[in-house]
Amino acid sequence: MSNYTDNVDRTGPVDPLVVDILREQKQGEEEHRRRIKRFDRAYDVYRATGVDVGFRKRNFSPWQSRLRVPYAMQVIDTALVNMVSGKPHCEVHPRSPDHVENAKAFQMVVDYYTERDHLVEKIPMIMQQGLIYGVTVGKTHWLYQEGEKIVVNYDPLTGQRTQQSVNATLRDGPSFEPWNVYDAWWDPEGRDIDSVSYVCLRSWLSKADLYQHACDVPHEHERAECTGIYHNVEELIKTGTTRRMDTTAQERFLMQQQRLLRKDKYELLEFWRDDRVTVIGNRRILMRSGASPTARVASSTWTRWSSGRGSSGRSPTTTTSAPSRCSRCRRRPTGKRTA
Amino acid sequence: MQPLPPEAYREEDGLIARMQLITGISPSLSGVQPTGTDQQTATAASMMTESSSRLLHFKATQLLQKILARTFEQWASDIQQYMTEPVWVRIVGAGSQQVFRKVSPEEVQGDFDFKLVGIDESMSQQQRRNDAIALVNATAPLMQMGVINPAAIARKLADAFDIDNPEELLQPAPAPGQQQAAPTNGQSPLGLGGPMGPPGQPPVGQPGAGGLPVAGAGPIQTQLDPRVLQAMQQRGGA
Repeated sequence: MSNYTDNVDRTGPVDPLVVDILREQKQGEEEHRRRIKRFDRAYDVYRATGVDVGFRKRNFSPWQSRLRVPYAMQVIDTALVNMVSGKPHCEVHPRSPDHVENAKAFQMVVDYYTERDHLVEKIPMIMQQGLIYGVTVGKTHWLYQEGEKIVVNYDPLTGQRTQQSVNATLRDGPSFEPWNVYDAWWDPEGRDIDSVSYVCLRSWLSKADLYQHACDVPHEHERAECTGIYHNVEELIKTGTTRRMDTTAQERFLMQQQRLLRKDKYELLEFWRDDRVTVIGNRRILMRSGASPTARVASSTWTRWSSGRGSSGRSPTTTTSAPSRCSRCRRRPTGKRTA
Repeated sequence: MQPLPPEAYREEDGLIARMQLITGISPSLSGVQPTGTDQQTATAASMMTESSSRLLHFKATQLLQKILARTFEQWASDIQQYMTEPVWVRIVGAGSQQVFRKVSPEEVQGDFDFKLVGIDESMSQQQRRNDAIALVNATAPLMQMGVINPAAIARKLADAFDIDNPEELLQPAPAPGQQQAAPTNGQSPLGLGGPMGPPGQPPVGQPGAGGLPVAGAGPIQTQLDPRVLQAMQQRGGA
């Protein structure tokens, strides 16, 4: 916790489940902290900042050049453009004669969602992250978004232009989200991503984000009655905001003077298992706990130059009609909800 | 101050060379004029590029198979689980004709296998096009005999030349009354030399033929669009 400065009230009672989970993931997070040092050095080498060779060290002679040529950037970017080209496409094949027609329909839907999610545009990001840090992480989830949309109408008689704001479904489909490797850790005992017992994804949400996803049903209710995916939002906000003090090498390079990163944010930890998901706010408040929205958190791994690690889980933040049970709900949902 | 040893001045070159060795990013792959290796010939340059691109190809395949393939698998289960409303999809047919269809959630249920394609892109586009042209040349006689489906070859060709709709390459099937009579004079149905063609004509795919119709021998009677054949002629002659 020394990496954070916050106004979080840590005196109140904590749900035993939160205590258990934080204890369980402690070793993984410590491993992650050690890994971050390597991430920082990798980024410094990539950018040739010179920080990694100690420009500020006393034994740095005055005659030594401070000029650094970003050879690593040249090598990695060359690899990137050679590795990322073309347009990956998923072919759907039926497994039995009964599903031949459905496979054709499924193919059309997958193609549509691939275009809709701009999946191809995300590949360079996930690939570059892997090339620089040796680890890359992504998350798949069902994205459902509602919002206001401006609709313009023309009167057929007068031609007068009118516009009005209407509530509309902006997105309703699968999505792939590249995830920052600085905000992901996993069971250090796992041989690969398929064998790890958990994956933890960290995100930083504002008060507005929390309210947007909050379930505001006041009494104890069932999952299908939920109006949001996060519970105990008010309790979380009462505990105060968190601000991370340490910065990544990338943030130091890109934001030279900015030190107040993630100010007035609330830290959320998504703790994913194969069959369960738990979300903890500010490491104190249980915001969601239940069966995983999908049958299994499938993940993938990849390491720099050979094999590696990355993960993809299902987002608890944007899942619709998730067949899971939260801590306050008793049965599986049947309806769709706004994320 | 102690003078630096001579090898100190070569240290940077050594480090860069090791970095290139480990990563597989050779100078030629970076667009830099290579030195120290005889790459004056196209064959040598091609071999160097191919060997260096193998490592990149392996890495790209690892990444895309392990991340994208699983992403699609997860998307598939999500679609079957969470798709609750029909989705309009656009189908581009022959002649870029667009057809719209509404797919209902019931239609996406079932057991499917998923295959990720289009990830072998670390190979240069030029190489892919050359390979596609060679494939067309090699299979032209078999296409005429009806052994090979031209549509499949057209798809490979379209993929190499980044043509979105492979059906554009295919001529519409002629009406039964307009079917061209099969040659009965004992010559190859191609009208020119193939691998077993008449003497004096270079075999298809061999030097001198360029895999393309010899002047005066008549065009290859494939189902390919004349525009594509023209483009191939230009490329093959280059």
